[in-house]
Amino acid sequence: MVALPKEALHAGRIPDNVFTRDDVRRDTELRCDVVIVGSGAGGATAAAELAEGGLDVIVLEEGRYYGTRDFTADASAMIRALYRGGGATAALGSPPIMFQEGIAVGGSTVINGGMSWRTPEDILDRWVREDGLTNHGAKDMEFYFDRVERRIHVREQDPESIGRDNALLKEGADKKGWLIFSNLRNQVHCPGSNNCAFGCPTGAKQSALVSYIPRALHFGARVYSDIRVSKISFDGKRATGVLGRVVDEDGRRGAKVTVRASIVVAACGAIHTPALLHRSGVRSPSGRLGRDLSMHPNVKVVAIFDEQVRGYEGVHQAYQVREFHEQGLVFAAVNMPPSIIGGVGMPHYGAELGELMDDYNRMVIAGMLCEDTSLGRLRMVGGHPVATYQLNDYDAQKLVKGTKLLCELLFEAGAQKILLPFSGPGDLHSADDIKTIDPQQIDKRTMEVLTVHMMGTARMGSDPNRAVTDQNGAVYDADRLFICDAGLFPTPIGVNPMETIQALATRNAHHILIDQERYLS
Amino acid sequence: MKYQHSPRMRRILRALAGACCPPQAIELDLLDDIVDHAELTIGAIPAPVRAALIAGLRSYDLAAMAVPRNRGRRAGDLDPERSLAYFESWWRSPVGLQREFAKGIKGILCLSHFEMPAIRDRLDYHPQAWIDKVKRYRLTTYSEDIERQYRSILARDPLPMPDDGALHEGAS
Repeated sequence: MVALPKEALHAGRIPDNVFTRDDVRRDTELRCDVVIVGSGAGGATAAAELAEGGLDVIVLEEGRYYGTRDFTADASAMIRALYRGGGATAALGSPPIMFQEGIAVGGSTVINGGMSWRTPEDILDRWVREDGLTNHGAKDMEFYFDRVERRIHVREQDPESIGRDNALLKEGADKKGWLIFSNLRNQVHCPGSNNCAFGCPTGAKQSALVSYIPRALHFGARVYSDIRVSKISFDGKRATGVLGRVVDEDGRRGAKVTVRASIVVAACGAIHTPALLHRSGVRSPSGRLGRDLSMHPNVKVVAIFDEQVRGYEGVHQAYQVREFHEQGLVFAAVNMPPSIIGGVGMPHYGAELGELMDDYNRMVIAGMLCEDTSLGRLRMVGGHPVATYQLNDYDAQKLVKGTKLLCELLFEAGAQKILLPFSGPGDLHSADDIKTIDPQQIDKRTMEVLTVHMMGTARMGSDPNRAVTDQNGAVYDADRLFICDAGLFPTPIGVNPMETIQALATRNAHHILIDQERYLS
Repeated sequence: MKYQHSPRMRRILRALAGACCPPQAIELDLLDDIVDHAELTIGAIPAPVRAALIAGLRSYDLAAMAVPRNRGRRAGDLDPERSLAYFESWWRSPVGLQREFAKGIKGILCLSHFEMPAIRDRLDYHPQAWIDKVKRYRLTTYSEDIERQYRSILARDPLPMPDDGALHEGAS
């Protein structure tokens, strides 16, 4: 067991068993029981469980190791540091859909909003019924959800942390008589700095960086940051380790890192796990690897009130409006800094943009999560994944319908003006203007759509002809190769995916521990 | 190697910033700072996207010469009024690629614009002060719970094994 100084968690000191590029200057060969590629929701969780179970674990992460003290309100600096590709990643389609992935120790949990919801029971039932995941019913998974929630401290927010933007969202929902929940978030007395997407600067958000990673380290796991894994090595069908290289901050490749392991776990997320498998020569018998990409596409509206809102003075997404959850729509208030909303969040420029942004402190930025029916896929170009995703008309109209409902709520809360995420109707000045929006008339190519929920590209299932992995995350037609990320989801889940990823990773790790004699032989 | 704007690229971006950023970019003499900041953003984006963006900027620059009212000048050499009109012609272009380029470059430059300290002051946006305040409040008010969670993270709590006799049905 490794003594872990508290400063490592909260003050940014690099723990002894975290190795950065400064520690790996020469070609290096490492040995362990399990090598895990990726340190986010799936990788960190699996690492902690397996290390506590007594296995020798190495985690490889492409991004850097940052501590809480490194996270500031300098949004663009944080994006450059913590977001893959500086945040400029998109699925090709019409409209293109911007998507974001974290690239740092802790993965996307470092930059997510900290929403912690169990997979809805109807989704789990569907997985049991349609995908043969007989051990994934709500009762079976309860043990894993309980365990994850205990570890990452899932709670509602303290009332004093809730800012005016969320209070207005709640007022609007209450006036409409709509169902609104206090959000469940992985946090310990989050005081509401609304900086979640740029690294939690208070240490309150229990991202993998300050929960599962320290736990994994405590139980002896080693974490190597700044390592880009190029391939999984095989002996026949049996995974035997990975090959990678140290990368510097400009992406230049340095020393070679070879890890020999009895078990390989890919946890690089729904975009990069299929790419890693593909580069390694894995071809799913079902042909589904890299297909079935779901994204929970979302759009945002900017509502301007005649009072000071100061959305950054309060927590991110204190509530979720669930009135339309059965229709696949969830609403929340999602404050963004002026650089993001003025740069990429509003379809205006020049003097008009300046005038609108002068009202920044009177804005409520609200968005929606849409459970999608569109499916995209990944294509490999020069070894890199390129996502394509064509928003279908049904989902596009659902987004417009959701936008109209969200505008109703915001006008009810007192909004004076609302800016829409698509062209055509112009700005709205009253609830009556909402009626002028005809979903059939909105050109979906003009929609500003983005997402942080990529899922489904390595789906689980009992039928090797329809799935990529079995229900323990073991890749079909390979031996001792597991997946622990959102790629496993057979369908979109309609809620924030972090807790589902962590529960599945816990379950897969449990399976490995139970069968470890077989896998380690 | 770190990305650096070429002198020509700086000129094109300076003209574009004057066109697509709010007027304070010119009034407060921020154009060079915005272009410097955009260098960091462009340096962080994936190499193929950066290459496409630079190709787009070169096309934008050169294509200006074909517009009669620009009198043979490239985009980086236009006066502010013509620069704005030329940017708007791409923003509203019937050609999707031109529209996407205009939207993308506006995003990069306006992101930089709103990161400028003078603009943050103008908007009365001071998040770091708020963060520092609530961080102190949390640490002083909830130190016991914070400590308890820290201990919980490191506490032993292994997954049950078949021999433990406590394995639930969902484990396989």
